[in-house]
Amino acid sequence: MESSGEFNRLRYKYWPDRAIGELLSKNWMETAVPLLVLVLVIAVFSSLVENFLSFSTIAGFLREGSELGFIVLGQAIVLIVGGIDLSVGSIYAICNVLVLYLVHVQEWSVASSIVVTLLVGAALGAVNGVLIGYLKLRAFLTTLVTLIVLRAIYNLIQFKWAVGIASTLPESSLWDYLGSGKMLSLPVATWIFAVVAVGFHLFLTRMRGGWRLLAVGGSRRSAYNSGLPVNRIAALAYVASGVFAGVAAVLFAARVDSSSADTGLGLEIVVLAAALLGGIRLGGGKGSAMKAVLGTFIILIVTNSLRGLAVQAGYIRIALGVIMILAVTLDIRWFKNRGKAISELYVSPGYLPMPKAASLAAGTPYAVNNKLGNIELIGLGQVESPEDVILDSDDHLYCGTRHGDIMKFHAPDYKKMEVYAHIGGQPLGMAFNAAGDLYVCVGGMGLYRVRRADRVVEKVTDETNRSWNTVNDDSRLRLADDLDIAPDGRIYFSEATIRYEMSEWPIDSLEARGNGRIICYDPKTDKTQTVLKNLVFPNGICMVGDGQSLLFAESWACRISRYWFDGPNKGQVQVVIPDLPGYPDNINRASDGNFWIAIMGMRSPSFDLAMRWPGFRRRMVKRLGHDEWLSPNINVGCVIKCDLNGTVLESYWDKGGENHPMITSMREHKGYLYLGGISNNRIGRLRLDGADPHFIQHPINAR
Amino acid sequence: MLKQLKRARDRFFGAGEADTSVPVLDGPLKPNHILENAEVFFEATGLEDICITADGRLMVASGVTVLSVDDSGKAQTIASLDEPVQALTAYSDGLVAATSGSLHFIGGHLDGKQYRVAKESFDGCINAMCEHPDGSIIISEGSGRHGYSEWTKDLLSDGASGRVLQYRPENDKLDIIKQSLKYAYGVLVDAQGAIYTSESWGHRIVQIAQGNARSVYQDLPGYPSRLIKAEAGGYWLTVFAPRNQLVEFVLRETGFKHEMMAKIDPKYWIAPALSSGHDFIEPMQQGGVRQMGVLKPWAPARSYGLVVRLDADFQPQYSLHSRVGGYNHGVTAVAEFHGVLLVLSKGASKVLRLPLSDIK
Repeated sequence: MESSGEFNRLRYKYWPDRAIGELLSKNWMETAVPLLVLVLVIAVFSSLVENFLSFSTIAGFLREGSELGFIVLGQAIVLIVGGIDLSVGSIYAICNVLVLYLVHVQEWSVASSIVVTLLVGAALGAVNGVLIGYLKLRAFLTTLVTLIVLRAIYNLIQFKWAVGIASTLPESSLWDYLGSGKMLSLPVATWIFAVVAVGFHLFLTRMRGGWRLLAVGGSRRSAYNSGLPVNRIAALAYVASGVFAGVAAVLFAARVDSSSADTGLGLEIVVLAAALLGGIRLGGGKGSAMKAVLGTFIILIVTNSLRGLAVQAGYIRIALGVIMILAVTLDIRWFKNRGKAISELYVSPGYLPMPKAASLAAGTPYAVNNKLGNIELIGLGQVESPEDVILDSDDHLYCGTRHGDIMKFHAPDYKKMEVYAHIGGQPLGMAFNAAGDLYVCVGGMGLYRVRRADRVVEKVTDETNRSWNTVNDDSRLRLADDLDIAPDGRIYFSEATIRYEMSEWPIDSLEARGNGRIICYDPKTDKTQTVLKNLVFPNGICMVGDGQSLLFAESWACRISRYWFDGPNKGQVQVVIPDLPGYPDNINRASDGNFWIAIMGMRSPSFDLAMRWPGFRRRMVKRLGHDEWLSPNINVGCVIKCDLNGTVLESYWDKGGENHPMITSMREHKGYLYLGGISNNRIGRLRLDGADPHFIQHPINAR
Repeated sequence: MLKQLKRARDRFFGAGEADTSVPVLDGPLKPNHILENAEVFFEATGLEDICITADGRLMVASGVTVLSVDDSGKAQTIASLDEPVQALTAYSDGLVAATSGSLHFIGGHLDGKQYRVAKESFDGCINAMCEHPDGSIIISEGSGRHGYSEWTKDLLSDGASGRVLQYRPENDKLDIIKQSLKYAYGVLVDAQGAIYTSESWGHRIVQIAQGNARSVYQDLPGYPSRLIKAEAGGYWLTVFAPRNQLVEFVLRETGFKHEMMAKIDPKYWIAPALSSGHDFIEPMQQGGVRQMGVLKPWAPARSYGLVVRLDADFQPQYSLHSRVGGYNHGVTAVAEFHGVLLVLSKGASKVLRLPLSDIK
């Protein structure tokens, strides 16, 4: 079986593996599932039930849905806080008969009747709340008991009041309006529900109370430890559930104007099924208004349509039970495996045929030597992860560290070290502009600047234009990597990958896709614009010196290309070195007009082969732990020098990889070559024979 | 049908035959640095096997030669064969050395006798021998298809053509005791005459009786090889390479595996090795990336040094290690000699010396 097929190339180019993984990692995907179910349910029943999509049927659904929806919202609050409320049906029934009694028999005004009813609903909820929140009784048992007790009370008072309620009719326009009134041809109850649901959404997502509910449900202990009044919040959730049941009861009473012995009987099952189906977790800490609404309508459509199809009530109950079990199972399985599923699906390897690597044999410019095996070391053990190094015109040395600092080593002996600036993210590529301000690409943050005058750190840019065809928002800079400054002041920098964070960049090597881009920041207009996309881990950037073009390295593709950003060839890209034997990193100018290229690691034939086997890599990511994944060999690196035509002139190696494993950058300065490495704890310094002793890559014209 | 479904399920969940998990080095196999820090006793190129003759002399197979080495490490050539020696054992009053498919008797009353085990079609892959109390020689042959040096190829092609043979010098009779073994490597005969062999690709030690193989120690975290009796009772077992999750995974990736074998130099295959980490063209795993100049001890290993002390029931007692990043890897033979344990690291081509009183 041969891997290198046209089929494979096309399949991995056009099949949206990447989009699927990215979609799944979105939070709103959890709401998308019940939405899909709702669409499915509508599709199925609209073909089965006559007049399903008629206006009156829909209006009926909306009206009933609003009543049920209120109870589901109440249940959602309780579920979010980590409890369960089985007594909603009984509270609903009592409130229903109470408001009817007050309006019909006592002939109270509608407004005061409603207020009293809601207060009673709250009080009944508070019974649950106190027992569960403060006395720490089990929610399930407690509300089961209140379900039974309140049901008994309901049966007693309903028996007593029923005749009175049935024999009088209130004359209140407000009461009628609530029951059958319409606004913009939709039931009033629906409007009320819509307003409350939107309010509930805002409460849950934007307000302190909502956050506290989620916090208590997510982790009761942590919420307690961070000072939240856990007991009170839990108790109030049940009060809210009681009030919402009361609202539903009032709306139902206004519509039907009568009460019967089975009002609200078995409602808890319907409500729970709706909440769970919507995706509100039994375990607490997760839930939203949208989920409650979706769940409500799914259940309502299923039960009503089954009833419309003349299915017996018993079967409908069974159907509800089955739906609930399925929803709970799915819920538990999904939450247990969500992270795993996402991480397995997120990495989406592509097909990348590698050109034959240039030979390392003796006699070639790449011949392995040990020129870097015993070089002078600066800051050994004092710096960690100096990805790039740079020197100013006074010969002071600067490098980034993984602690988020830019360190300065003082000339001439580089023994004295100080924190030049604290940035926070890991500094990668660096360049001085003509005024001596230090521009830094910071992993996870974007392009930053340290002013020369007062060492103040400023953000230059952290976003670019968003692509229209990506799932993930790619406007934020995730991994700005290296930069250089054009003579006119424009800053060109590479973003290695838009799919991984600073700590995960080696994973991008397994994708071998065009995940990176080159971005231009123009200080004159303060605009940031992506100029080249779909590059395979673009890394080093270096101005050629003609004011029109730059060289850039694509690490996983092992090639160096030239890009014209101005002049007659504007927009063109030309590959300069197609077949590097390793993974190129930063590029910088040499004093003799040539270019230094850091090779951070070497290609191995098995890894190259794996690049043509995306399925192999995908399964590997699924099956094996992170540390076991195949990796490019970035333990041994070298520095090469090439000319603008891509002819490699010489190479500098640390054969054993002991002194300078993984070189990610080098900088020539006044006859010396300084070396940095992202997994090193040192900076190397090599004397270059015959190099221009006055060469500075970024001359600074002090103001 | 059910089998297909099970396979699909296994592939989805990474269970059953798609399971790439590897036993951890734990309990008696807890890692240490004893082997890595051991004193070097003897160095030569192409070291392969060691044994002690009946008169108490130490014999070492090095390339095509058999050397006699004294206590101070001074070597004297005893014999020189046409082909590299692949196994060595004491027999009666002399020695037997095996090349790929032939036995050569050296010294003793059978000196100079030769016997060809292999047939014409295949050179043979004899890798260990042991004298049976009844005067016969028990021989293990790793593969019926790939030569001794091509053992990674046999592993990657799911080799199961190993044999255990019994040879009687008095009448040149050769019996097949057991075939279709997943790389038989190392033989041992206990006091009762029972025959044991290591089944390397099966990660276990088996007892062979009446044509059946019965596990006596299984689920090893590496590929076992030669076995010898310990003087204090029990046995010494060498494990010549570690199991590695990536390798286990590659073994199940038929297409990739075959293209790799067809196109890439065997040195650079994703496969176990006798020594590794010293060539940057070798495959590497993410855990093996040096951080701040340090290779982490949990880095996945392609090669390892491991000697396991087994009790009389073949259960592990303790072990000697050379861990990832070390040099004394690929241990294929041990011998007890004048109160020291001599360990032959084929990966480093060294014989190491460990006083028995110092280890456990």
